[in-house]
Amino acid sequence: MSTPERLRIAGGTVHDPANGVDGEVRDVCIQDGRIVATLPPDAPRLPARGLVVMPGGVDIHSHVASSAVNQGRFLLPDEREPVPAPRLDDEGDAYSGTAGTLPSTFSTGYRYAGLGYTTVFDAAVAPVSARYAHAQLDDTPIVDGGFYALLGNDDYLLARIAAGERERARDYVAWLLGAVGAYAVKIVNPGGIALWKAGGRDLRELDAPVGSAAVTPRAILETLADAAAALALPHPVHVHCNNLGVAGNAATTLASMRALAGRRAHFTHLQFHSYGGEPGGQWSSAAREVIAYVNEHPEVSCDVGQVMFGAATTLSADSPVEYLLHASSGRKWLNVDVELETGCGVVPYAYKETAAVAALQWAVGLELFLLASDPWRVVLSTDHPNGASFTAYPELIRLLADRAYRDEQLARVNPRLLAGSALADGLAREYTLHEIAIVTRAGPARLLGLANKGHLGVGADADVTVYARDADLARMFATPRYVLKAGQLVVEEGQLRRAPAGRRLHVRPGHDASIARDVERFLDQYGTMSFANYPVGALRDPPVAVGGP
Amino acid sequence: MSAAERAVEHVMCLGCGCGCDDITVRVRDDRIIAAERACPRGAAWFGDGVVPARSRVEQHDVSMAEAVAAAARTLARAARPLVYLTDDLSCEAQGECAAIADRLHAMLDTLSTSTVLSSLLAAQRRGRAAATFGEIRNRGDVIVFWGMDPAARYPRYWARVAPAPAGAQVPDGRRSRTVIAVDVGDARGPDDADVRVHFANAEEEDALAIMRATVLGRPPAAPGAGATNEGTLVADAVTVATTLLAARYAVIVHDAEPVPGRTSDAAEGLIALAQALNGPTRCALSTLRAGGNRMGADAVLTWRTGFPMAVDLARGAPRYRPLDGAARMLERGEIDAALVVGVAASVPESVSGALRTIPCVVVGPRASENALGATVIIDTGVAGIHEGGMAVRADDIPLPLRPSMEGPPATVDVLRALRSALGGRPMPLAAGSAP
Amino acid sequence: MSEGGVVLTPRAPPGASIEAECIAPDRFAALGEREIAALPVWQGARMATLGDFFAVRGGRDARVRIDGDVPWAHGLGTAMGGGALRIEGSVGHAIGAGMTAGAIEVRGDAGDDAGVAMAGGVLRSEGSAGDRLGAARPGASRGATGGEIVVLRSAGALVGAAARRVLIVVCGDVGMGAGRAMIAGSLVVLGSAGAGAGRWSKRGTLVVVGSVAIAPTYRHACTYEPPHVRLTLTYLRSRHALAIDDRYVRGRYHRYSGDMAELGRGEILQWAAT
Repeated sequence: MSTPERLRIAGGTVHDPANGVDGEVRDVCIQDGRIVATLPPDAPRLPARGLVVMPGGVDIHSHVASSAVNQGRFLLPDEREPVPAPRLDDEGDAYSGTAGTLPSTFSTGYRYAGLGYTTVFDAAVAPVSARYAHAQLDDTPIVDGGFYALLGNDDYLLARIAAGERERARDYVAWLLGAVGAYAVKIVNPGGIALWKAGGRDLRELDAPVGSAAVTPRAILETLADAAAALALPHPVHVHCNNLGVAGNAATTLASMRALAGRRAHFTHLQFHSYGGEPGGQWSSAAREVIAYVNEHPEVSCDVGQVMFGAATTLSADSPVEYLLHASSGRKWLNVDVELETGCGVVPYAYKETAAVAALQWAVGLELFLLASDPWRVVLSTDHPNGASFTAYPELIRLLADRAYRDEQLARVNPRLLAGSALADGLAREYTLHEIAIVTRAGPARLLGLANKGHLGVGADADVTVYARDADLARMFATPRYVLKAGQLVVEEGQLRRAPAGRRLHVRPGHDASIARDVERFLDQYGTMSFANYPVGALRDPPVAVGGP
Repeated sequence: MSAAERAVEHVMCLGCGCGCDDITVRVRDDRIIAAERACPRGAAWFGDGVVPARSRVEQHDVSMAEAVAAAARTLARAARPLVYLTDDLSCEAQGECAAIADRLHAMLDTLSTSTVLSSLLAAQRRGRAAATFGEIRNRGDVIVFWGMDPAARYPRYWARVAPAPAGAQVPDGRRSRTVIAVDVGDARGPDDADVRVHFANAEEEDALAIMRATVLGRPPAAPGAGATNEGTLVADAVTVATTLLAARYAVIVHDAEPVPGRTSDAAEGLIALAQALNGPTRCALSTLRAGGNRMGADAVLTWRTGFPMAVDLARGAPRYRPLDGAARMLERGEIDAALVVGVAASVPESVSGALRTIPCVVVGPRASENALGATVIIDTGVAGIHEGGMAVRADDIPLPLRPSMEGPPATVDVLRALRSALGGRPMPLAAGSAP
Repeated sequence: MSEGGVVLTPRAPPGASIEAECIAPDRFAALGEREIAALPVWQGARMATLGDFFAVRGGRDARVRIDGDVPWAHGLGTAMGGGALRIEGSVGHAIGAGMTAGAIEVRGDAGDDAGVAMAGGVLRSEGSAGDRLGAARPGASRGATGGEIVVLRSAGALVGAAARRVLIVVCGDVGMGAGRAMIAGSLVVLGSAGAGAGRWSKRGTLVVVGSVAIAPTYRHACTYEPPHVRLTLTYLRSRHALAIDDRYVRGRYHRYSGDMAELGRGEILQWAAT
């Protein structure tokens, strides 16, 4: 059917956790791209009896549009498969592309929509390259999207902290997010990238100095978390802790959480930060300890960053980690030191179920999910493409919701490092459809402060996914029957039919005007571009309101 | 038009890949009268900004709409069309080129395949150890100019990136840094160097291997028997490697474009050396590229197709054929029509020669002055002078283009009209007919 | 090959070359004559059929013979997983690319990229081979990962570049960059090797009977009778019916280890003429 301005999704079984709807048969009414309470009886109907209706998926942490992502695409010509342009209904533009761990932009949008996801955030964009990210998002159709600006290794901020001017961070963050059209603050390996660029290696302790004694990972975390809170940003600081991927790093992770105790903070790809043991020694799972802290602290949220077996591409601003991966694996390695701000590293990788560490990483992720007491604060991600491609989400959902299947998989993996882990001891929990709806849409939308996403209440964006029930949940979630984006049917009968442009999600908090002059002086002294060319200028879509409810 | 003088500030220059964006362009009487702070190369690129605005079909002046319709007919008839991107295009225009190629199931290629192929392929095989200009400015304390003097093709690199400017870790600029000139064949490094060595073209990759082996702690023990030059080669290479190892942040600057006087291919060795230096110290390879937003073409093609150049869309989806790009396909007579977008004068002889023998559409600045014998010619503006959008510096930093003048129809608008004239769907595949 | 099997007889050479990845014997085993003739072949952006370029005789057989010269046909045997493909003349580029099993025999010359990224099986050319024999796809860091390649005459540049676990023997000379960036595997050259042999090799073994320039980042280790060379050459003699002189099988070789600019665990073994 064509897309009418009004549509009644009739008689489906609705899972809308944000509105307390858990599997009730009811209609979902759509008008002009929004959910409305009622429609006249003669409004067009989409029969959904027997089908499962959920809000569109929301990906809180992915890598799809940064300059680093494009460097990764460039680096891996040999892993790419051609994907012809979809045949769309409305004479709309459709483009071919390539698949792989890093699909081309149009293919990325089509594939997310094909999985029922309608909102995606790129979690790591160097502010100086923000223009590049907007250009790629412009070419990523269907999904609404935005990105987080990389902070916490930027020389301007570190200099303010060193000078004891932490309060300047608030205005700086406000100015920067608005200037580059970002949505949130991302902290990657606070201080660790700056140290690596200066020739340092290890930054193991939260109180280790970065250049100046006043500048420590703890100071960086506090400063930026306070700034985000003071600005009442819709999403709190999005933290990638120090010591990613190192045995024993759970201690660092817990210390980072305690450092921000009482402040809202989102800890990303927690799986990569929940290992016991000693650096350089034996690995073990520390998922129990880490998730116990999360469970007890409602101000903390996380996404898991699940590892799935198969090809991946590790891609991160955490360039010292990428260097170590290159050195240990001998695989090709791309590094870019990004002026005054951050780093960028890319190394292709494969998680093999026969490998003890990969099996442990897989298990740690599942443990975090299965031991979480509040699914609203422990949401789904694979840190695409680091732990796995986002196309593995349906398979991950099956692992969470189907114990028999999970145990079958567990029996196949290398058990060497799993002794004593919760998963090996037996975890009976199976995610319900309601919980799946929380960790894939309602939860991330709430954590992102997106009032109109992740639910089907009146006034919400009409981003809706309709699934046909299937005993195999991987199949069910891989091929939604219908997907609506802002009320438009983009997937019908499992086929992509329309590919409208998505909206840009970004914030523009107010700030003291003097901060721009101060940053300008700094960039004139140390940068290589005109300050006037740093901001990306006006965006087509208006900013999301800041200031909180 | 007003005779008053206007000035546009913070203009990005596309005269080379350095992308200096501190230019003030002064315009009077519809002419650029000054490009302040531009180097001679940049000033020549800006010129007076006067460009023709003609649309021609078979040597007759026509309206732009007629020319677009004729272009669409020419391209739609082709069995094996080529879409070829050359200089002075915004990223937005480059994206439109890719979209048209997708629709035509064309071969999509750029200048990169004819100029920087070995550098890009080496980076794909091994990766990169790179840094943006600002890191080099602020940190680089040992700067190697490898087989190139930036004064020739990147005139402001010395003053804006390294070694001249002061940086956070190198407060005294040139005096805080050691400069090494590596002359290769007839290609000389800069005159103002603290250390100078020379390698013959044939020795270049050996020299890089010796340097990398030295960095890895396995220098050649002694010169091999026979070759009298080998002693000097090893000694010089070890000297440079040792100096690099003593750096806090080493930078190796090279030119990815073909350099006169150099016949050897150092791309892989330079990457390998720069990567190895990141064990014992830090190192970045600064890879310079020509202007015209060629980096942008690599970037745009990569995000849209997955590949930076030589993308064959014949089967309706991208396939990568960098070793068999436009020049070779033209040489074999496989291409039967072409759309050239950008500065026609930049098209290398290996491509332009064959273009004169097939139906060809040229859309770009001054197309009517150098039209490759084209059937259809549409003059457009120059990105960064008449057209806005985004461009990418040689270090992958994106910048806005700030047009200073009114110009002919914008390239991106002409391309959109052309795409629209080509119809709303990918071309159907012709199946089954005999050859 | 005995009578029987599928025979493809080339029609007149087409104006433009074709890409015929569909010619893969293991897939022919399940197809009848007409189905084979209807398989898709690409000529530029035009999709045609195999029957447009070949007269097809036979079907449902994993033995395939092309009885003529087809230098204009590229990509034959791509990713083939079994069966036998014999070409009675010369063939175009990328024959056997990514093949995993089975046997390909070319009576004439093979073009560029023969056996590129192959993982298993045997590729044999009784004539010469072009550039990048058994090497990696463009931009890939890993080339052939298994299988055997035999070329009775010469081969072009970059033979075995970035290869892992492959055995390649070229009975004549090879061009520049033989064994470049090899990760592992063996490359035997019974003629001479061009400049840059073994550059950036990690663990590869490069045996050269004729002349080869040794890069300064290789170190002379010893001169001896390497048992693995004797084993390899003896194997090649019997397995591939190659006439390899006893002087080479039992001879002494200079062993150079390198490339010291990489892991340094590779070697160049140059026959010591006396």
